[in-house]
Order: sequence, then structure tokens, then C-alpha cells
Amino acid sequence: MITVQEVLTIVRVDAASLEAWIEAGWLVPRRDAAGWAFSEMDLARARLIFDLKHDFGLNDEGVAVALELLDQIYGLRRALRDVLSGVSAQPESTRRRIADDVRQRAASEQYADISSAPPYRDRFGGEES
Amino acid sequence: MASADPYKILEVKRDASQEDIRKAYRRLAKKLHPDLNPGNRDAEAKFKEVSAAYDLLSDPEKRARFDRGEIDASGAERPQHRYYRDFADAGAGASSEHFRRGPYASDAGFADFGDADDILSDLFGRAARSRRPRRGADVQYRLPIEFLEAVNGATKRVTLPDGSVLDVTIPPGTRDGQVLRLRGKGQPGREGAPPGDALVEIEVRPHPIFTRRDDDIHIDLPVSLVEAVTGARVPVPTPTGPVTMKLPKGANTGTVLRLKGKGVKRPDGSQGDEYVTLRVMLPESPDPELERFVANWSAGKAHNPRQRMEAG
Repeated sequence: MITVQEVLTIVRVDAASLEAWIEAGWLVPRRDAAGWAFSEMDLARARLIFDLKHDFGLNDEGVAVALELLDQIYGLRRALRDVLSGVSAQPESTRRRIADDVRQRAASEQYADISSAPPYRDRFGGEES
Repeated sequence: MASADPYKILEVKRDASQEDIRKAYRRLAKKLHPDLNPGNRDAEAKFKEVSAAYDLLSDPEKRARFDRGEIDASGAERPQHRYYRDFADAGAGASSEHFRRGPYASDAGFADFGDADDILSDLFGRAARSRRPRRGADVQYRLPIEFLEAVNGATKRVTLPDGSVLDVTIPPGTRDGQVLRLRGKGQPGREGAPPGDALVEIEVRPHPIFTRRDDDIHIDLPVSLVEAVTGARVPVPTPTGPVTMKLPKGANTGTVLRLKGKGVKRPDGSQGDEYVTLRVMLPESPDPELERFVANWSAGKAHNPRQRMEAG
């Protein structure tokens, strides 16, 4: 477990700010007898918050929105990955049926919704092309 | 890497201002920050390059020394560390549910998908058990009210499916289909988060004599032959009770009279009007005296109300 002091040193943030991040629910460290106890994940998230504020110039409202959306993206990625691994475990004929069905849906959607589709759609967290 | 040109990496000219450099960095970082681009595997290496270039050029002193050739771009890399995505995206291999989810991942992006399919619903429902604070869901109701309750305002007591009672204030001038939001009257929140709202869609029942068009009230008013010919004072229903109106002499079927301010109250305190369309009515049963009188009325025989319908 990582202490507050270590987080302050590694992330270059002051104690009041870190306290405010916890207060806002951006960070959810555990509490033990010695005070806050941060996991590796908490530390990485504190770094991300630091980047959002300093590298991206987001204010507190912006950080809150970004974190909410990121938490949704990671939740969605996990759900999608679970679904895909469930599909991968199926026999080949089933996988083909599912793939054909999904492909057809995507194609018919493009025709039905062509006005709203192109400018904003992105592959879900996809590779840069 | 060591010999790469930080100006080229940031895609700026050598005489770019500090502000331009900052903007260029932010533009690239948005695309390349690994935590913001979890599906982009190349992002991490490129982001390291870009942030090293930025660390060098954003410091005017270091930048000047680099420009003079005193230092090169090596050694400027940030110390390596694990990104948030490495934890948040820890994948299906992880053993315990808690380690996989961490305290942060949210199911808000797909919590509604569970409704779509009987077989799959509890898969997505699993995530709903997460212990994050979450605002309660909004609940929707339909509330039928009487026409005059909508026009004049009212308080309606509603009994909810769970047996609790809700007092709904209908503001004057409420329209059919309007949705009233009752803050905090929805589902309770989880883990200390606030409750959702109740959304009450109002259905206004039609009225036997009044109709509403925008903020005006329209009504058909039957008047007798005598009242119409002599220009009598007649009682007229309005949403707030009857008023007396003087008919013009010789008022006819189809004549529209306006009662100013007798329409629907608007939120700004002003009011619409009531429009009264007259219907001149003969007595219900034939009257010998009227028949005699009309038969002897010579000017009446010459009057042809269909004149304009006849071809030229």
C-alpha cells in the first residue's frame, strides 16, 4: 500500500488538492489505521487526474466530466470484452452466425442513419488508422 | 529517439511561441494519452515521445540550450510508470472480481442493455451491484386531469404503486402532454447519492363546452332569436365562472365576440382571451305566432343569404 506522502511526492500535487480529489470521489483510496492507503491503481488514477488538470488544462468541472466518461468507457470495454470472449468460446458455426448478424445490422444501420453517422462515429476505443 | 527533433515531433516551427507549443502538445496529447485512448496500443510510445519533446520545449531555458546545440533531445524522457489503463483495463485474466473492476469502473454506459433480452439481462445486471454512489433513477407517471384543473391550476394527490402518496401541484395553464418534474421523488439513490426525479406527464381531459387553442379559450354560445335581434345581455360560461356579455344588436350565427383576459393564465401573469362564437337558435318547437309574423315580414322575403353562392 502507498501512503499519502508517497503519492504527494510521485504526483507532484499538494496535500489540500489530493484531499479535495478524494472528497470529490475522484479517488477512492482505502482507509487504515495510519490514514489513507492507496493502491497502485489509485496512484495511476491520481497521475491521470494530474495530467488532465495540467497537461490538458481542464478545470474541476472538466475533470469530473472526463473521469465520469472514462469510467464508462472502461466499464464498456470490460463488458464488450466479456461478450467477445463469451462469443469466442462458441463453436465456429455459432461464431459465424453471430458475426453475420452483427455485420448485417451495422450495414443496415448505415443506410438508415446515414445523415447522423459519419462525422462523429468512431470505432469504440479503436486503433488509430 | 535521442536524435529525434522535438519540433518535428510536436509539429511546430522552430520559432513557435510557447503558447503554440502548449497548444500543439495538448492537441497531440488528447489523441495519444494512453488513459484516454485505451484501444490504441501505439499511443504509449508516441505519447512518451511527445511529452519528452514538450518537457524540453516548454522550458524556455532548456529550449534555448537545445536551440544553441548545447544539449540534445535525449535524457528528457519522463520516468516510466504504469498508466491508469493498465489497471482499469486489466482484462479477463484477472482472478478476483474486485481486482478486475476496481472501485472506479462504471456500468452507466450499458446498464439499460440488460432490459433487451431475457437470457442476457442478468449478465449486465451483474455490474449493477457495484458499490459506487449513484443517483436514483427517474420514474415516470401519467396523470389525467380535468380541463379546468389544467387551466386554473390544482393540487392532485397521487398514490404510487408502492403505496406512498405524492401531492402534485398543477400550475395554472398546464398543457396536455406537459411533463412536470418533481425533484427527489424518484427512486432512492445508492450509497448516499441523491434520489432521482418523478416525471409526471399530464393528460388533460376534454371539456364538454370549452376548447383551448394556445392560451385562448373557445366556446360556442347558443342565443335565442330575440336575444340576437334585440342585442340582449346574456350569461357566458368562462373557466373561472359565468360573466354577463352584451350582444350587439342583430348579432348573427358565426359572429365571434372576445372576452378579454378570460382565457388561460400565462406564467408571466398575463392572460389569454375567451372567444365566443354565437349560434342563433330558433325555438325548439314550431310557434304559430312567429310563423305568422315572419310570413307578413316583407323585407325578410327579399333577403337572400345564399346570394354569394349563386353563379354570377
